[in-house]
Amino acid sequence: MITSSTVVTSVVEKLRAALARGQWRSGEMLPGQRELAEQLGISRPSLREAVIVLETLGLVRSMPGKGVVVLEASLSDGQSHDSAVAAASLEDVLQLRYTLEPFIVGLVAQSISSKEVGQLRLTLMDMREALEANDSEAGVSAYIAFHEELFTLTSNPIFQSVVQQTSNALKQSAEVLRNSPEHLAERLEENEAVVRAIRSKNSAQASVEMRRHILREGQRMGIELNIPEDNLGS
Amino acid sequence: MNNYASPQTLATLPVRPSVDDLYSRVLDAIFEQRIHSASRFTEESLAQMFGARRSDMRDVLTRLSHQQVIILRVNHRPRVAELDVEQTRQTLHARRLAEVMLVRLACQRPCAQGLKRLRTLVDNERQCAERGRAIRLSVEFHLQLAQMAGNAPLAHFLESLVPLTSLAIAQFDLQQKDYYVEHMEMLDALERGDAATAQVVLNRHLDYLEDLLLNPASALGQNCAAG
Repeated sequence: MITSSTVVTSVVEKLRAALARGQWRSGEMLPGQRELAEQLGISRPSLREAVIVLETLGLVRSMPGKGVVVLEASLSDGQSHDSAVAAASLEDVLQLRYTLEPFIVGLVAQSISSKEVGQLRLTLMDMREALEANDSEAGVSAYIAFHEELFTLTSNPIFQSVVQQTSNALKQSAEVLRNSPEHLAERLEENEAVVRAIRSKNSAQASVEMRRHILREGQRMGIELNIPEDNLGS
Repeated sequence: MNNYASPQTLATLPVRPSVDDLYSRVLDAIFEQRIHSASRFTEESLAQMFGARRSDMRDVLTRLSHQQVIILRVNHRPRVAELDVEQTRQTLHARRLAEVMLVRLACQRPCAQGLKRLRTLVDNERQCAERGRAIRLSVEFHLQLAQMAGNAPLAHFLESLVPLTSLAIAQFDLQQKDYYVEHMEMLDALERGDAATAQVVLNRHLDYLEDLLLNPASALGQNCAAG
């Protein structure tokens, strides 16, 4: 269980992006703690915490007394227990979302405050503006932000590791998500239906709308989603 | 001169076999409550205790922290998580969602090799007399079954939930019933590709855990009756 604050999360993202860009290659050491913390404008404890997260993701390894060495991404993929997601296919991620998100929106519908509803609606408004401005980049960002907000609203720390995984996967598939403006319009409509249900505190309806959204998402991506039939009909 | 292997060498060997073994030994100790939430230890003292290299112990602690069993915080000693009833409830809930889906997926594609591994595991469980090890083997059963579903991120999520429920069992100091019987039932269903039965067995198992862990009072009553 890694305590994560917004600062740490954003530093993790920054470092991940830098690693993905190849700013440091595998086998290389990251700059010293003090230097790196200064570069990123954060405290050393926050940096250390971010490094622990990166270590958990199998991207770097701390060498006591020496520094932090960058691991080869492809190498740590198959072998590390903690980087399963890097190897995840879009179908895996949709299946995972289908398993968790209908439940999550159901929970959120039970406990949400009107202020929080307002926040969700603002994010949807961002999505609408992006659509109208034909800015697919911003559209995808708003979509991912919406997804992350829903997880955060459960205030259940158990889901925090999984939201990091799924939103990273969404970011990786941003190419697919950006592909067409009609898709963004549909996505917005479906998410609006989810928020309407949440707003009227209708858990069951929120779950139904989320299920529908994820199935459609699969169709849009050209993925035939394998959802085993619930034999018990529960 | 330094005694460390070069970073490059270490980087090519992210998980050495000895680390898996060390992981099992540490987890056994936690499940046996030889190391518990009030224990004071550091990466170094643990490494000494287990006669392991500090870097290997670090790997083990990192993995256990993903499994939520160990809490790692900057400027604090590592410690064993301590669960309250609410966390246990949430964990069990999330676990039910993920595991039901994983079991249904696994039933679509039971592979001979995976089934064989699970059989061996259940055999070991049946023969195991030590409590801590029995709990760990039971965790392994659930996680290996999840692997068979072929959805890595979902199985990964389950990996952060199952050890935690087992930790709760260990911490509440409840009598562990013989889970291998249920595991065998589940395995038989899996072999037949019988998702309905597998799901019934799993739900029964989770209902039982919920009852045990969320109503400490009634569980206490059971223990008194039993003892």
